[in-house]
Order: sequence, then structure tokens, then C-alpha cells
Amino acid sequence: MTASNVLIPIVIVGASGLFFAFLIALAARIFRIDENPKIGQILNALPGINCGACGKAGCAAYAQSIIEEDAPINLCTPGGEKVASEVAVLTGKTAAARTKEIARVFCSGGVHALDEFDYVGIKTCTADNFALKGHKFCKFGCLGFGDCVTACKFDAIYMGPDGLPVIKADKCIACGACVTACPKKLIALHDIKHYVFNFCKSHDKGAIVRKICPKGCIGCGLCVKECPFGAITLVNNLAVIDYTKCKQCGKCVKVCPTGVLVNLRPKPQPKIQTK
Amino acid sequence: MAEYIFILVSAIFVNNFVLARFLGICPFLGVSKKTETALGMGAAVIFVMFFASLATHSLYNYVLEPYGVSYLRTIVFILVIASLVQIIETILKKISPVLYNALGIYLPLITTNCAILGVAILNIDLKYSLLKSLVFAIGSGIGFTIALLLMSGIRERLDTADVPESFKGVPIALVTAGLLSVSFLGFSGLFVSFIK
Repeated sequence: MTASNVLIPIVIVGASGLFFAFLIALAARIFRIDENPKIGQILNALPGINCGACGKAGCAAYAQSIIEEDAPINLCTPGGEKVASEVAVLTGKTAAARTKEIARVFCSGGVHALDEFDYVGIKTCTADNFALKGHKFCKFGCLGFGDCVTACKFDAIYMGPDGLPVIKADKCIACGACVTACPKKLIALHDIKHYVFNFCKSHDKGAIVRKICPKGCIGCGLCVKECPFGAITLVNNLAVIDYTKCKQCGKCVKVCPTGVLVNLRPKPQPKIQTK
Repeated sequence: MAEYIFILVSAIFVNNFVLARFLGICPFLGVSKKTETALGMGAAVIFVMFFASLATHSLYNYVLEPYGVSYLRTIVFILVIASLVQIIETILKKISPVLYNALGIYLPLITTNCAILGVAILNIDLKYSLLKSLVFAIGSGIGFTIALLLMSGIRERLDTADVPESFKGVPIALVTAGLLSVSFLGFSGLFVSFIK
């Protein structure tokens, strides 16, 4: 064992590393392509989290397609208005900034919805859904294994105590990963200014819903009558809100007998009296 | 001359990289969903295998062997392949954007393809001369492409086939790959004396 036994390999690997690094640098210099500098600037303006909400492979691909394929500049949901306006300044394009969206879970059943049988298979919603459409009597509702939690790359979803996923408003960037992950299609992206929701997707008849889930929409139609704007219709025993007509007044919430209609509008803060 | 043909046919069919040596399985399953992408990947592999053989063969025989450090070959070869792919990508982007776009994402993916390292190391193990190495590399690349093409053709049909629910997707692809591999065993009787 001499020093050269150690030195020679080090020198050879080091030298070949340097040599190839030099070649790469040389190739990069000789075969340099001048790309539009705006692509880089747009890339800097984008959030850089590569979530894929815009439909492109990542932020770099989106920046390129804005310049080269004239893609709309408001596709970035995580960036929202801020990014859209920055890109608008860079490109000179105008586009209506996309409204800020958030994912909403359309089921209120969770642990309250009754089980039809014990499910012992793989602990994912997708697998459970394969087994006779899930272990709940309600074939429309949340199965509670948290496929959406796994799908979320931003820790914005956790399973709440009642067996339903809860979405953290401050972390959700509306990338839509949970929307595709849910086998029951219970999650949808909504404008953050929508407050009134029917958190149920069950098309079962009211009598059946009453038996299997205390928190389901029974299709009674009280909300339809109550709504002053005609925004609610009954579709197959389910009250569906048309958000183009809904003014978020919340009158329907007050008449709902099962409490499945929810008004999420933050309560006005009591004014603090200063003296 | 006969020897070169032997090497070529052996690399393509008898010792097919994917189906007989089980190297490069990852792209074999990952990129074989469409015939188009399979062809792109195959072309990129042939391309890189050729240049990687050229570089590693020379490096091994003129640098590693004379200094008695042939045990370093794995790490040095990985270095060579990674940088080579990077250089080829840069050059292609400039001189042939059409080819660059056709190969697309597959070119950088090849950096971590064990089939390339496999070719480089087998060249040394089988004590091939430089010319034989290059023939072997091209043959291996063609073999890889054929395997990928066959697989993609089958998988395109599988998409419309009535596969049992629990077998859909990767499971049926793995079963198919296994059967394909068994069928390639049929070539193993060719030049028995030649196979090491």
C-alpha cells in the first residue's frame, strides 16, 4: 500500500471529471442558443412549484408556451392575480386575472354515514371504491381513507375528526391534484368568494338518505322555494346551486332541515369599542 | 466479417438487452405505451450507446488499464455517459432542433439507463476490439428498440382489450413482458458456441 495506490485513482477520476466538465462547458459555449430573455423573466415571475395546474409540464414549459405558443397568461392558479399581472407587464398581453380558487369537499357524511360492510382491503379510497363502490351504504360519499391527502403536495389537506378531509385555506393553491385523486369525484375547485354550498352529492331518494346518513341532502326542495334568485334546482333528489345566479345570501341555509347546506361566510367581527 | 454479423445478431436477438439480459427495464415499461415514443426512445438509445461505447472503450484501454485502475471503470463510465448525454443534447439542440424535439425528454432520461452502462461494461468483459464494440453497441441499441416496439404494439392493443379489472395497467404489462421474454428464449439456440 503506497501513496500512489490512492493518488492515481483520485487523479484519474478527478481529471476525467474535469475534462468532461470542460467539454460540457465548451459545448454549451459553442452551441449556445439565444432564447428569448423574456422566457427567463416570466419563469422568475412564476411560482416555480411545478404543480401542473396550467396543464403544462412545469413552470419552465409554461413560460415557454406563453412566448412561443401564445398561451393565455392567466393559467397559473397558485400565482393567481399577482403572477398574471406581472406576466401581463412582461408580455404586454392583457387577460382577465383568474379568480382565486380553493378546493371544497362535497360530503358531510364521514363517520356519520352508516357502513354497509367491513372493508379490510388496501387502505385507499380507490381500492375501497373497487369493492362494491365502497363500504358505506351511501355510494356517493367520502370513504375516508384520504387519497386526497396523499395526492396533495402542499400539505393543504388533513383528515378531520369526523372522517372527512379538511382543506386548509391558507395552503390550498387550487392545483386540482385532489380533484383527480378522489374516486367519488367529491372535490371541486370553487371561487374563494363562494360561501354557500350543498355539501352532499347523494342522488339517493330522500327516504333512503334519511336511513343511511344523518347529514345527507334529502331533496326536500325547501331551499328551492326559499331562494329569491331561483339559483337552486333539484336534480335527481339533490339540490344543485347555480353559482352564476347565487348571490351568496344564505337564506337557503336557514331552511335546510338536515343542515347539509352550509354558509361559510366569515361572521362579521364584533366591533371593539374603544374608549 | 462473419464474426461481426454474429455479434450483431447475437446482440439483437439472442442476448437481447431487455428480454434476455434484463437491462433497461425501466424505460422498457415506462416508454412503451405508444409506438411513437418507443421509436424516439429507441433511436436515442442507439445514438447514445454508440458514442458511449466509443468513449468508454478508448478511456478504458488507454487510461484505466495502463495505470492498473480498471476497478474504477463503473464510476468513470457513469461519469462519461452522463457528460456525454449532456454534450450530445447541447449539440443536437443547436445543429438539429428537429431531431432534438423528436428525442425530447428521452435523451436526458438515458443518462440513468443501465443498458448504456451495461454495453460499456460488457464491451470490456467480452474483450471486444473498438470496431467490435461499436457493432455490439449498435446491435444492442437495435435490440432494445425492437423490444420496445414489440411491447408498445402489444400495449396499444391491450388498451382496447377486455383486461380483468385487477390486471389493468402495470400488472398486465409485466405479464406481457414476461411472455415476450420467454418467446425470445427461442433464439437462444442460435450459435451456442458463441454465447459466453
